Amino acid sequence: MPRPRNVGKIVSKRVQPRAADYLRHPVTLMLLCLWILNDHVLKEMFGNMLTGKISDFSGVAILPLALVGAYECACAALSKSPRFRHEVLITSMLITGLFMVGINLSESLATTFSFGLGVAQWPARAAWHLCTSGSLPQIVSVHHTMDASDLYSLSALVVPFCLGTERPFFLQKRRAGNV
Amino acid sequence: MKQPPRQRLSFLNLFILLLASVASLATLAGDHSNGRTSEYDEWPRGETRQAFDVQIMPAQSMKDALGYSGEVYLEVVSKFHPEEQFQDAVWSITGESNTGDMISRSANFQEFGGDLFMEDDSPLMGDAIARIGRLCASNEMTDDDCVPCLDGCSLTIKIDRCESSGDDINSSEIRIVGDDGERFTVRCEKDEDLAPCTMLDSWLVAEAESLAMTICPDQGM
Repeated sequence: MPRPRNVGKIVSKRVQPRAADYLRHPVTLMLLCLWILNDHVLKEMFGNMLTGKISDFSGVAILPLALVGAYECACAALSKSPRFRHEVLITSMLITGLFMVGINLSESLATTFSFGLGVAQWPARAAWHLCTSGSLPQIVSVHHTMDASDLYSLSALVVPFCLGTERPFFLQKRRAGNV
Repeated sequence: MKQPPRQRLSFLNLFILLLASVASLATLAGDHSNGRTSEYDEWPRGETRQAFDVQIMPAQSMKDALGYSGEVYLEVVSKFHPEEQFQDAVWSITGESNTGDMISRSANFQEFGGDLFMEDDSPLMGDAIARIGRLCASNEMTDDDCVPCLDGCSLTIKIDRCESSGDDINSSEIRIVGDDGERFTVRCEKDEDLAPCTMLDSWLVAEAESLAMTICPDQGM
């Protein structure tokens, strides 16, 4: 009788964790798909208050995760431990929150944001125009309207907090203290 | 303090990160909250002439949508000319209406206006403005001296300043205006339907292209 392969052997392999693995979490993927679908399809089709809020909520949830993801990927590329990931996560959430408050309550910040995002979009638009018409387009500010009710979207920061930490860091410390 | 373990790169995660970055950049579209019947264009630095491929949509449907029953005119503006030289600049249009009528006109700029300004001892600066013509109404023949663009048309508009402006960036505007000389505009508020603004923006669409040969009369037009 032929002997099955690997029987009697213990195959042990320690798997190195992947950088920015929370980006493939179903909640993250669902929010990212919803964000793209909303910005490029639903807003065109319906353009109402709900589509405006979906965009804000998804953006606030995804942006801190993307920033921590970039940090973790940079650490992985440099073969370093992402030892400051909690600090980067909390800072990213703070930056995102302050950014939302700023562009919805301060006129000068809102104008700067509209122009700045227009500048950031320009290289992609320029490449497209060069390929299609051979001319360079102007820099166009994006359409942003200040709206204090958009600050409800700050509640979405709970998503990166839950996904970005395996366990909330204050619970980790308390358990560590009990041991 | 125990450090978190080193991590490995995952191409799928990198791809999702890239997707999130693109979604962040592209989350807001260009500002079309003000639909308008004009196209502004800055020319390449030092360029003194420029051509435009212009598409004009059927006027009647736009007028109906705006609830406007007056006349509409096509105008071209060359920006920032010294007052004493603005009449040197010339324009020409050639093209065809969507019903097959040929269009060909050219002239000097006749009107000086726009935002006027003067710096120190420099001459008065302003815009050279030309009214190319009135867009024909539905019951008019093309020999009524109107531009046969009621059902839409494709035009090439050329503008030549016929003078060097050094290394300055020149600019121009092509616009459809009403009886009051003002372009049509419509405002779309946040989270409202942008369709009226997009529709008005589509009435006049212009793409700039370089103009190799001068159209100035004394320079080999």
